[in-house]
Amino acid sequence: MKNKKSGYYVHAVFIFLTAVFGISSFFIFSDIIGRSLQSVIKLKTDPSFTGGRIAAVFYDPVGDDHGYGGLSYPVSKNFPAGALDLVRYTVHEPVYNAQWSKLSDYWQIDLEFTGSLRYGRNIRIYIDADGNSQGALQTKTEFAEGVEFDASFPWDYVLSIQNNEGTLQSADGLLIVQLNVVQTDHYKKLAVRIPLENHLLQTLYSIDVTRHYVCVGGWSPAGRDGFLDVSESAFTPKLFDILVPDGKTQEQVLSAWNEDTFEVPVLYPVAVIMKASLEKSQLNSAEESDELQKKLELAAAKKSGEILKNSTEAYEAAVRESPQDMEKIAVAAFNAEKYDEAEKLFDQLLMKNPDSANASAYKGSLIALRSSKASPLRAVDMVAESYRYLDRSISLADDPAELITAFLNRGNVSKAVPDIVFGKALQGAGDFLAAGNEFKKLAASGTDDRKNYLNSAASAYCNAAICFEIAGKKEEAGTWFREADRMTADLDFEETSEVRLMVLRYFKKVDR
Amino acid sequence: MAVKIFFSLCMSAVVYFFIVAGKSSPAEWIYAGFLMVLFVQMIRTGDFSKYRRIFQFTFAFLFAISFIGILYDERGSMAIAEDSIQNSEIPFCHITIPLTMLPYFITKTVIFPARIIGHFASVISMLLIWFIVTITIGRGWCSWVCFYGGWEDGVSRLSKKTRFRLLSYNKDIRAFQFAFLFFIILVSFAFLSSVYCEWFCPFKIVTEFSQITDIPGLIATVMFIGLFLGLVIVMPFLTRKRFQCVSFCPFGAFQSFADRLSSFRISIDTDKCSGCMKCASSCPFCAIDKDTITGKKGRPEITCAKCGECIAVCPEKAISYQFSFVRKGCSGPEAESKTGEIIQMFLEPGTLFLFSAFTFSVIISSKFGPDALMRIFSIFTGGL
Ligand code: SF4
Repeated sequence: MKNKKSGYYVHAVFIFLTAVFGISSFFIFSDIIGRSLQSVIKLKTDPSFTGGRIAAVFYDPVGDDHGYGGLSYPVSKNFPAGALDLVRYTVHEPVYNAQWSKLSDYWQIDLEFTGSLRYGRNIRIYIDADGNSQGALQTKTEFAEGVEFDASFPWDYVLSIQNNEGTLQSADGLLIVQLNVVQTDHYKKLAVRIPLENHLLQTLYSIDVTRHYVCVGGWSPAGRDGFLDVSESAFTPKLFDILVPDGKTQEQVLSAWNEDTFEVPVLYPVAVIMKASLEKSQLNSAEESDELQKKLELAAAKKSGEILKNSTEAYEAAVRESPQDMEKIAVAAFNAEKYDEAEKLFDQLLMKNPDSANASAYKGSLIALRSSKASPLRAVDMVAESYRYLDRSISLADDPAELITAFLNRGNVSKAVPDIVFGKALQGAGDFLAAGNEFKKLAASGTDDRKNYLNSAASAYCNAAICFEIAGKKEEAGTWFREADRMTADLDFEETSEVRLMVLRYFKKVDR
Repeated sequence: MAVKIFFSLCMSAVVYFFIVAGKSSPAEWIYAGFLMVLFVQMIRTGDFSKYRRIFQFTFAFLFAISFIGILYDERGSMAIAEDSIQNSEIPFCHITIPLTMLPYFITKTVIFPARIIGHFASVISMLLIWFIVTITIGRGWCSWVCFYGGWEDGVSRLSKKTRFRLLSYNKDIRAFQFAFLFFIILVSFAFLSSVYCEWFCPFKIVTEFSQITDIPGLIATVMFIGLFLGLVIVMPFLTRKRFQCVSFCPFGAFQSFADRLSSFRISIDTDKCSGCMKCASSCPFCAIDKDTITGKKGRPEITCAKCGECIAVCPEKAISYQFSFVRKGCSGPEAESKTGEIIQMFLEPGTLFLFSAFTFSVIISSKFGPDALMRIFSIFTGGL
């Protein structure tokens, strides 16, 4: 009887605790619980909704939208920066009997750019689908793009995409099919669906390898085949960005024209194995990557220890040598993780000058840092208060250094707070990208600190990628991890260990 | 009294945290105030059903306004756009959970174009919400959480009298719902597609729908409208029952099975019951039959959604909430001391059920309620 009674109370108390604390806590931590759950069960949506299983993904460098190397961006305001800068080219496996879609049988190709553009892109994708010598070596309209194609792989089909419309045409011109082009992600991404109902195209279901020449130009109604004239030599290819196979560079390929001999550049295709599984990392084996990870973890720990030591010394030096420069001391205190001291100083700075962008940025971060130790109720209010400072710092910043500080502070807070409660991960990604771009500009300005700036830009891109991952946008995450990887490839191993570690962790996750 | 104050204070902390904290618009405060008034009234009067109905109808209405508003903000229309499907951005609705399970085990993919994680309506978020609701209030989801059920709750109370009695058809209605669940699971499996969403969902009209571009699309739209009018408006009006919830909704049927995992149930004290059948006539979920009472089963049938309607109408006070782990016909132990009595007051199943259920009501409605109010205010202040 006694046992029964205590059993009742144990059960009842458990239900009491679940009701009063358990349910709310479950929701507060559902972000973390969800992520942990997903890392175990690895749910995926049916690929036929999103374009089919991915056969191949090609990553093109960010910021190479200068054609042969010297092409300047269209001056018109219709072409915002990065609008013609192809960064990712994804080829899916052909899909059969898809649900929910207008097209049940289709083949999808995605192009992603760094900048948004609704009207103004003129894209040609020339595809060699049979691997034999039949097909064409000239562009669809002669002298339009100003290039020719590798004689080993003449194209069989060309996809002509202008803005949000497109057609597929066979090399003999006999087959013309309307494409379904959808612009998504604020016009940064084009999803091109090729209907496969036509029996002539159904051979694509059984093809093993296709080869793609991807050409991105500006669109103009007056241009030849719609290609915006670049107003340079008649031989300059009118292409701002192309995809090139490994071992070649875009600049090499597109600059190979000769006005005297009437030669035009020859493009080389990227090969797509049509039934490949999802993106592969560059890592060779699990053991190698584990070993590399250990090395990087050691190097990164050493580096962060050094940074903290240097910051502490810098703080002491600032207190000693420039006691009047309150901002310098405050920033040094923040970097040295003396947060209480830093906050006091930033408060004083804000009292003196409420419009200080830097003080607002750090103050925002400090409030957010404190919120991690507060009760959940108080924490929400504190995070909201921290964003008031962080948002203000961005509106107040008026030089690159202030902008970087503001973006990095807000980005770090957005990365740290639970997305399910605050929904800031995407904003965080945007902030890190903006900071990364500012670092890149500084790196390009010819200073001695070029390598440091590049490393900082890569680090910002990695953090942007992490924010994209948190927001569930894993493709975008892949783009920016790869870009960070590319940028740090030639830099010092130890110096870039933190970035390399983030990239490696991503590659390992994708590989699994 | 102390218990009521304690739980009211706890609920005000929940309401503050999930609705008001970190935000500053009056809409949040108004919605938070509205919820607190409902909760205090429920706990003060012990009449859960009336205030629950007010909550659920208000939530359904505000949810529709907010959801449609969000769709217009994001895609400029209620119609599902091709890019939303391609980006897997269609909100994952709880009704889809049972339909996607079997295909998942075969294809290892979710046959619904929703985001997997990183969004309040992502697959993982919805699965987690379903899990925590199931192990606490079980099918109580239908009467305390569901943002569609409120439509029927509202319409079923428009008429004062029942024009069409369903009591003698209870078993058939339940059988139909389970048969429909199995049918829809099988077809979804056969076509590897959530057929219910494409052909049968009565709530398209208050959420999102596919564009009519062909004849099948037109037929589906006619079906959606017909099902909404028939099952959500006309039948609830005539029968005063949650007719769609009890005869058609696959999630409701599924949740009746999942309810086995829940912590609470409704208990009928057969010694106190005088057999007046008021509970059976008032139950909106057709969960009390004549046999349930005459056969002294001691608990409602499997479709009980713990709405509390029967508790409110029972003249003998024979119906109450009970913990699921307490065997049928038994009750909790008698308190032997003053402290024991106080502890028992805090552990009273009805109060704990109310607190759990209303916590879900607060959290699930926390984004939509204030957002809808803001949209309504902005109509009057000239914006939108
Ligand atoms: S049996 Fe009672 S609590 Fe259950 S659904 Fe019917 S009226 Fe509601």
